[in-house]
Amino acid sequence: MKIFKRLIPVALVALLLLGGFQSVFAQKAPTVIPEVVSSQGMVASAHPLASQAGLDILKAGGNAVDAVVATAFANGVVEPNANGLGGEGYIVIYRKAENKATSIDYRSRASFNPPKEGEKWPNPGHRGVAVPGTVAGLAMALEKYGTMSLSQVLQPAIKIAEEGFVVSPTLAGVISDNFKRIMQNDYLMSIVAPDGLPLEAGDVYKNPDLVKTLKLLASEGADAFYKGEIARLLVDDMKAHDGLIDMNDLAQYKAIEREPATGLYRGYDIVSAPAPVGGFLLIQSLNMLENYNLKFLGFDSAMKLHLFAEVLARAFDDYYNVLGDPDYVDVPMKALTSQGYADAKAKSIKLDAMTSKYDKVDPNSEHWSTTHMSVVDKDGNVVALTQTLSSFFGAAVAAPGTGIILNNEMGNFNGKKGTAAYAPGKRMNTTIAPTLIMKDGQSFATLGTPGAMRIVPTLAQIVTNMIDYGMGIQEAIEAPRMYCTYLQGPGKTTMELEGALFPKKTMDDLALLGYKIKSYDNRDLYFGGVQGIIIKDGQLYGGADPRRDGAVFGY
Amino acid sequence: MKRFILACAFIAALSASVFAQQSTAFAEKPALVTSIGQSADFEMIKVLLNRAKVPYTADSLVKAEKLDGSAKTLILVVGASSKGLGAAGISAEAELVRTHALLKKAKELKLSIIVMHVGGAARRGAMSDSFIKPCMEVADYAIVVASGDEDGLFTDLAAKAKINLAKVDRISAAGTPLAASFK
Repeated sequence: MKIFKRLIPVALVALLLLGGFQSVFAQKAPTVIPEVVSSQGMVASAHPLASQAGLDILKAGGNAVDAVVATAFANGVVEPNANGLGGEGYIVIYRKAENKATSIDYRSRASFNPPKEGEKWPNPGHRGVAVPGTVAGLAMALEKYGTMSLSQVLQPAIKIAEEGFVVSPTLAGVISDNFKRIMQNDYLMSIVAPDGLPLEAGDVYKNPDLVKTLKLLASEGADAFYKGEIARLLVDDMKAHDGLIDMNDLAQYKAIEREPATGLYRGYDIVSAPAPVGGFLLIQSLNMLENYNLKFLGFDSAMKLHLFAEVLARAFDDYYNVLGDPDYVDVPMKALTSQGYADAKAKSIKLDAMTSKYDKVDPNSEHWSTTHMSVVDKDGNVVALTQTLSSFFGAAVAAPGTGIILNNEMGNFNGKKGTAAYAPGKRMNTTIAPTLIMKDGQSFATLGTPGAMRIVPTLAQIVTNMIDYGMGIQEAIEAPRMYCTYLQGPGKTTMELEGALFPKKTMDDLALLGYKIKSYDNRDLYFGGVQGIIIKDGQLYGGADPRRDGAVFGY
Repeated sequence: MKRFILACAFIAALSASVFAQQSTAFAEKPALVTSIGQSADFEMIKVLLNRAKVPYTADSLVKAEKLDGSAKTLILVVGASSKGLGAAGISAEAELVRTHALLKKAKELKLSIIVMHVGGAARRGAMSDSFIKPCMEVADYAIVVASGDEDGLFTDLAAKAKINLAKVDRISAAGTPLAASFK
């Protein structure tokens, strides 16, 4: 109980000292990866070749949307485990000239063909595959807000796919970790384990069928994927393996432009991806955190980490109980992102004791493999894009002749009830949250991360690292992270964190508060791979995550 | 110059001993292969054993009481995976208890023990090392992918246990010393 006596006075003081400090956003500590600074344009992604693809498009006169689409296609080649043509995503775009933000939902959706009664969506396997949205989403972004043709922005991806690329230790580790699932699909084995064992770091990864598919998209457009030759190959593979997706499912797929989810955190506008994904969770978490002076609590104190656990648990309650496909259920996005709702939720938080059970607040009264890329162009247009296959290597199946690895998004319906429950043609919930931050009508930052359920906790930490602790982007990305979104009371709640990078006292204090600790030896891929760019005083500051193969290029 | 040549000769001699492979086949068939740490590396060793045509039984969670002497060689695929442990429904602590019991029974049954660590640097760290150390203490032979021994842990443990250590550059190359160790 000694810790409580020590914490209570500090807590009371902290609660009284809200706000009132100046952030600097300058790198103050040395980083593993140097922060990148430029002035004209910048691309941050999870792979150097993908970032280079986007930068080449910017230099060729393309805007941020052209560049992010090129980066996304290229990233689908070099991070085949995390995204690609068989996956999906969400993009948030800010257009400087119109001073307007928008978002494009290219989440995958369930087939209209019903499952067997009581069927659980499998992983691995074809029945776990949802209708992919990547091609439709990127094509829509390009058509509405880009300046280049699909063929132009596909060229870097085609070149990388034709030449092959060197497998990084990160990719080698992911292939190895997922080998048991991969082994069950001969065609996928032929791509990532061509001699019967996983490709290793330093090997050259080639996928000749994907080259053909990308060239077909370049020459025939998105219809080749949803109605043409690629669609036929995908459906043939589905038929051969009892999959649900048919030609009608593909032909009916549409990307959807949506109003972004928005909020305000300490004077910064947060613009993120709306339902059915996780942007509102980030905004709601930040709204709750705004009630506390984080700087006073300290970056690495047990009390601050405990506060995050309390806040995130309250936010994630809505992920499980309120979120759903807005085309199928009513999602009160305005209420979910309102300050009043967050304040009501935060009232039950105690800084010196863990919550075992908390009262739900009615939102209507006020409420494990992905990748992210961020782009800023010379005209001040800013984009955040996150896309995924759900699990690493998705459903661990690839469609012969296409080189396309297919998602396992249907698994996101497993065990879900209410607003998140399965329905034919419905988009499933997920936590991806590509996010833009604005200050006084000007772009301030673009960021996002993979990491499944760690996405929102990680982004909340990055945003507060920048805004509350004044860290530069690279420093904010490299700072140690925690994850805890489910409180069951002292002795029953596990907090996962990069424990080796936190002070021993913090770990001891968390244990005294009743947390079971799962500590990681170093920065770990488990906590995501953030890519981000800060825009300040006419300069661009780019950060990439050493937890993954992140790379930032600017000019 | 003389000093340089001597130094080179010394380093070459040292390297030769570090990379020493088992000169004679010592392990009897059939083998029992298990995971120590529940990483996916277990699957790769099964591929290598199939290629080497070594008859084996695979049980990633085999317990000491299941060892009955029918398998003559125990192959331990060492390296921790949090995800793998979670999927197998076993904690790191319980995995370590299983390991110690397994090693004790294997020694009682006088089984040959081969340690295989093919996950490189990614399968090192506090949790993995806690599995590696007890296994290396009782092993008769160890085969490791060299990137997992950059700090010399396996080299040191092999020297202490007075066993041969085969270091290979990649997973597929681990098949040669593995096949050669069987009679």
